[in-house]
Amino acid sequence: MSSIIKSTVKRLLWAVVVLLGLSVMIFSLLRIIPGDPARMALGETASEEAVALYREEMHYNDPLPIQYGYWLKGVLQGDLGMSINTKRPVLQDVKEFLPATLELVLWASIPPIFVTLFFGIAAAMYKNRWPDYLLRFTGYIAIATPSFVWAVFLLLIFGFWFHILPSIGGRISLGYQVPAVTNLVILDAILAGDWAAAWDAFLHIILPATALSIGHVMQEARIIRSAMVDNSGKDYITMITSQGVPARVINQKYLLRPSVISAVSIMGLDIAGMFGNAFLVESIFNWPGLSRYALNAIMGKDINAVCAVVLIYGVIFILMNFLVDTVVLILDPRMRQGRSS
Amino acid sequence: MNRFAEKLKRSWFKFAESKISIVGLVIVLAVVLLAVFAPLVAPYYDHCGAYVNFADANKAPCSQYLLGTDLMGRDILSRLIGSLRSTLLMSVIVLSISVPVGFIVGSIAGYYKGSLLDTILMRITDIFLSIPSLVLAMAIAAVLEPSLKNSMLAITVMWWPWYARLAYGIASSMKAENFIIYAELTGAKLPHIIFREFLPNCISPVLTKMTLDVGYVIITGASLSFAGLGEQAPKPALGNMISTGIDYLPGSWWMTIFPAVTIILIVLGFNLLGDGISNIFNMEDN
Repeated sequence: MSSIIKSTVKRLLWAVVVLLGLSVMIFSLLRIIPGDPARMALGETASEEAVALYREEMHYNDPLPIQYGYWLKGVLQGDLGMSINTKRPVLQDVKEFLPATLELVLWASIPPIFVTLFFGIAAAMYKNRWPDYLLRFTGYIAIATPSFVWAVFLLLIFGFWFHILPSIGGRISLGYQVPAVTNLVILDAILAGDWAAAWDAFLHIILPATALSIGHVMQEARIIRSAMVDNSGKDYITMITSQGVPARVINQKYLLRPSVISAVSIMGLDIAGMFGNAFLVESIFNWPGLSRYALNAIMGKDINAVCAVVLIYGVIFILMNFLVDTVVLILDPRMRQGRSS
Repeated sequence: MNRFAEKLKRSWFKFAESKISIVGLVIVLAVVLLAVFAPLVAPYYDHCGAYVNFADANKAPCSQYLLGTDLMGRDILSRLIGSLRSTLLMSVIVLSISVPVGFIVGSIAGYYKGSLLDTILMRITDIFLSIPSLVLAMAIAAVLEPSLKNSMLAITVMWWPWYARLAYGIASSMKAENFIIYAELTGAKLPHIIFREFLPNCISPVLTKMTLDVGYVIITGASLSFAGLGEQAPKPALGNMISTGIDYLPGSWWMTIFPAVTIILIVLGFNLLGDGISNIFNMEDN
């Protein structure tokens, strides 16, 4: 047990180092942009004195390392600067738009886990029979399709042609009023007991969540399938089979668990990567999330907002990595004893 | 020479064992040929630029325009063929810069494993890997002016760390091998060790990863172009064509669907080819 704690602390420290490095990189990004940041913040019409004052106030006259210190201090206190587009503090924008992206990524990552497991196990159980071939064939196509292309296909098929799911986008239809508690609309609607609103919001999230997750589901299912097939040929399985352990127990306890480990670490990275793919999917579905906000910021050269989003996604990514490593540590006894790393 | 021919024959046998790799090879060859001979093959090559013909605007697929036309009256098929060059060029340039850079960084860090240099190089690599790649590429592309060249630069910047990590793993586990120690004893310098000792041992995993990466580079490039950060109008680009077409769904579906299918086909082709090539190397290891 103590080895778990020790390696966890060590990895936490590394995470902090990586975070600091990330902050240096983002700060450089802020300063690489050509032009005078004070002039850009105040606009063309501001007077020369006002710009000079602002430059002094924001420490733009100091050497870069000192500027970095001030910037980092501000970031740690929640000061991400002003957005040029929305004319508000970036932090306020983040608070408004992040929950929608979180909700989307949650729905694109947690329910699909079960689909992944089902596909992976089914393909492994029916190895070299039609369910396996079907998975392989659809897998090739699903992986070759970028998530924004999935978004287009899904929108066209289910939104426009069959009219099964909403095509206009957004998180919920107009007319529903859901009191904001967690800012995750479906959860809020359920908490308020408004089942009609929850159902409506659920219908809205199906297409974007599917577009984000479908490629990952097929890829992870393939990994689980091949891990299970590999493991089923190993000596320990032959041994417990010969001892008369029932097939169901073998499958669940001895075959599945070691086979999902490699998929779990990839799953974690994929979930974090969804924030990146969400840029395009959100803009296609008019999903009012942080990624769509960032895309608008990129178009409008709103560099403070862009950097804030990169920073937030970086933090989420690092946390996710940390979480995944911990889960793998719990699942894999070999890692706990430090036998393989 | 005879031995080389023999080896080639054996590789082909392993490659062709999986019929689906041949499908990949055929798709890739077709795409490359179409890209090279685009001006000759495309029915209306002048439509790949600032061509306007409102009389034929927004036409559904017909015998004159096999895949329909866009809002400017430009032939979609010609524009798709015209976009292949920049699509392929992007993956060639991104990989031919990021792979050597990643390999050199990773093998130097691996060779000096445990030193301060190793820590610095690999932590920098980790920082690059700590942001979702598309997010970083978009941020870089946002700081620079949107263009095909800058989107290539942005993707290259986020691509090398993967190869650094791959080379690091191989180099650090190999540095204690006898042949490296002998090379050191006979006075081999760092470049010799990296390029004559590590490189031959890294070739097969690096090549395997490269062939599988071509598809991902194309997807990333198309995503940037979809966001308006890649090739600029009026030049055709797959992502760009889709993002323009989306506003005219479901009526003018051909403007979106055909570029989308083209992306899938190209990436599928490269992925299948990559699987086939990795089969060659995997069996060599066995």
